[in-house]
Amino acid sequence: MSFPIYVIYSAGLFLWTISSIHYDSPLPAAQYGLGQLLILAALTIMFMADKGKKAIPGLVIAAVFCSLGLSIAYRFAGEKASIQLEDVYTGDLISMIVVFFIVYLLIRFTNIYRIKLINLLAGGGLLLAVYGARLTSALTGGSYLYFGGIMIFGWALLAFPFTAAFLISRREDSYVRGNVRSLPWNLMLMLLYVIILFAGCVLCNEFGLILIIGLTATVLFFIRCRNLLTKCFYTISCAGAAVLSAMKVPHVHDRMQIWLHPAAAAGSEDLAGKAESVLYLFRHLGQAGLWGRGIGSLPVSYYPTLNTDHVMVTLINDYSLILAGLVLALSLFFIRWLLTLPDGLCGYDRYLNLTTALLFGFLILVHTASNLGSFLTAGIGFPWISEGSSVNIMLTVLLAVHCGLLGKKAIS
Amino acid sequence: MIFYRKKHYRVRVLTAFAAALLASLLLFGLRAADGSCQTPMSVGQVILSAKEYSLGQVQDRNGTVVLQGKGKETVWTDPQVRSSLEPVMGEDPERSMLSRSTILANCPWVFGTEDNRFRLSVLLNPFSSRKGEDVRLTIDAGLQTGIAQAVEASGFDKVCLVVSNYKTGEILGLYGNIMQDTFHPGSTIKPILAASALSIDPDLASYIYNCADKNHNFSTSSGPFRINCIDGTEHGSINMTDAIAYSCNGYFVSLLQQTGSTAMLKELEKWGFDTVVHYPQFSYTDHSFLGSSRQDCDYLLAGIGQANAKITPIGMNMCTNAILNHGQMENPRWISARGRDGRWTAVDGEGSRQVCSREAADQICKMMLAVTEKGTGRSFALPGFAAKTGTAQKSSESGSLSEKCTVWTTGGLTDEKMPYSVTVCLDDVKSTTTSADAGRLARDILKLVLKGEAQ
Repeated sequence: MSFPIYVIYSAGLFLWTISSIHYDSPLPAAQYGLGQLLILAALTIMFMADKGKKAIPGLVIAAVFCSLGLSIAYRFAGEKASIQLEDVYTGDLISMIVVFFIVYLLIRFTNIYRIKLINLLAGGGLLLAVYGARLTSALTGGSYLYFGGIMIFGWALLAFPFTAAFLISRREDSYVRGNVRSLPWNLMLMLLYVIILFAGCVLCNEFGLILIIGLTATVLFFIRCRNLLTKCFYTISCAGAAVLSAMKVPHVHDRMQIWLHPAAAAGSEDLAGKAESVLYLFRHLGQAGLWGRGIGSLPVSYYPTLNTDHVMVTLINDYSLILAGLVLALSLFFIRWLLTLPDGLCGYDRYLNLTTALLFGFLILVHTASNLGSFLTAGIGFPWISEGSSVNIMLTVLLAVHCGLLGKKAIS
Repeated sequence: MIFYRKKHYRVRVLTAFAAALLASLLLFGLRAADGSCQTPMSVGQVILSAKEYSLGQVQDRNGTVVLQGKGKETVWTDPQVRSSLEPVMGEDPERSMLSRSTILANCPWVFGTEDNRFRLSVLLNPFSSRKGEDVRLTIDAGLQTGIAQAVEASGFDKVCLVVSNYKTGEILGLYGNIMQDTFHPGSTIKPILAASALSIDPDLASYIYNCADKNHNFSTSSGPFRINCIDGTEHGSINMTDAIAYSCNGYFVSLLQQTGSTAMLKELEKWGFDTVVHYPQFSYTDHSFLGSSRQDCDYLLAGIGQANAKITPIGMNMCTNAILNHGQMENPRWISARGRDGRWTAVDGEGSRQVCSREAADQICKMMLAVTEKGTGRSFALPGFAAKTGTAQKSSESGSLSEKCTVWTTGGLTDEKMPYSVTVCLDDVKSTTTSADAGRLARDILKLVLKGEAQ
């Protein structure tokens, strides 16, 4: 049932989008149409290949998000749409689909992702990427964001679940002070790894990544750790670090001010520009109403990140509050789907899947909350709806991991 | 079998996500509902709104529609009202929003900025048209038409004119760029100086000056400086009432020297001279007296409305209003209410400040009555019309005095049941045109106001 609904939805969205914005060049519409066909083709293949149909609900939701991503990309294409596919969302989509099938097949039919060396390489590679970005890349908006042409956020999305799952699922055969109720060494190692990762993120000024990794690691730690005292100590340490950074790091301090007092920030000389993206929705919500102001009504010249970090603002303003609400409802279904797994898989697989689900969940949550002014502005995109080649490709890898795990047989 | 059981940590994780998402939506909803984040739109955002909305109705004080949007077009209902109001209406936000000197720039809701599409009618009909809210002005369309006709009949090219209610600060009619264009006030500044002097020292009301040839040389730090009365007239021994009635320059220059510059400049600041004043409903060019100059001769020349003394017609009208209103200067207003679907709410803009003592203002008001009874304003006398005329010579581009003049008449009716004032400024006129010409136009406009009142 979900498949035909998706077909109707994507066709409707396509017609609505291209009738709202007309370009002289047919290229943007052609790219949009091609993207839609590619998604449909990939979905059809999976529909036929996945006999248990366990993967289909989540894939359809992902396709809904990708379809919206195509619409957003068309909306922001401008007259001078690139003829180079690697520069446009449709080009990313080709990479995403190819990567999806490769990873899906590897996860579902092989166990090479469980090899210790590969997981160690992933963990080491992530540290290399983060510290390497600080050493090799140029400043982009005050941060060192790229390593090897790929955003370190993307590297983190790819490598962190494997590393975290590997560390957490190690045999817990030694504990601090030899007490079985104390912190196990594998969890201690994971915390150490996260701290080293954090230090690199601070050097790169990549606070959005700290937030996502920090939240994910915290949930993993709380699920795994059985010692209440350790949990309390961890909570106090994290809260202390957060308060300290809010007070001492100007970047974080500014965002805290904007979050707590957006209207006052608008009147401040230093923060006025930064508070605009938060205040926009409050000012224009009435004008948008339930039905939105129409696709293309908010020019990117006012808010350059409307197709990336503030895509929820675009959805509410242009596409309607109803559609934004549906996207959020689907997001919850998506997270639910990500959290489901067949019985009998090994601990590593379960933690890999859980970390994947947590990452998606926090991306959606932080993006939505920061766009609505309910949380710090974090500079994080919405999975697949926001533009961003490397991050979207890495998210597709995680999607493929889950789909692969859904099809795996239980360990006897 | 799918691994998904109640009370399992995965269920708790999902519940936590749902709760967090709900909490963020709730916080957003609460903030949106209490309006704490409802900061005013930026200029760019207003312009953006205006592109989606058709203009709301602009009504005059009697509810007559003056201007309204039809789709993306704007339609004026009366070409004569249009000719006088269009320059200050600001119907094109891209041109007018950067300054607050147009009417619509001060009521952006007409461009749809305050639209709330959560109304039931819109929720049921997503395709309902986007239309800005309405605005009711303090301006009277009938009077505005009359002003346009009177100005046209007068034959003068550069006319600035404003009619207002000095009790409320409401602008009833206007012509020309009364907010931005500044002119030398000439002798119309004298009642302001007199009121300020009396606020400093009430005994100065009995000050007598001997307007004789030998007394027109005034001492300054750079030596004697001569200022004559108009056409070299000598008024003889003259008191303040007659000095205002006959516009004796020597009296007021001498009065300036009596009060001392520090005290006088401080008093003049209350009237808005050489300072910055903000009003809720518009911005205008602030008036100046001495400006940046510190020279004695400029100070003395400013006393007869020349040198750096400059004022907008609305500024002069506000000062006149303060004298007529016992020294109380009401905030000028041209927007009275905001409306949607026939429901109107008053727009904040009221406020006032005391610019001189009540006694001083009342004394000067009586003296201004003498202007039309026996002084320079006899030719445009009207019962209860307290006025002051003024003529200022314009300077040429090289800085020397030119043949052209600016002539003024400003005044109002002392009967507080008809609290109307009028300021007329004719610019770039030849020396054959006198302030009495401006006065006659002012009188005709006042008659129009009274006629409208009677109807």
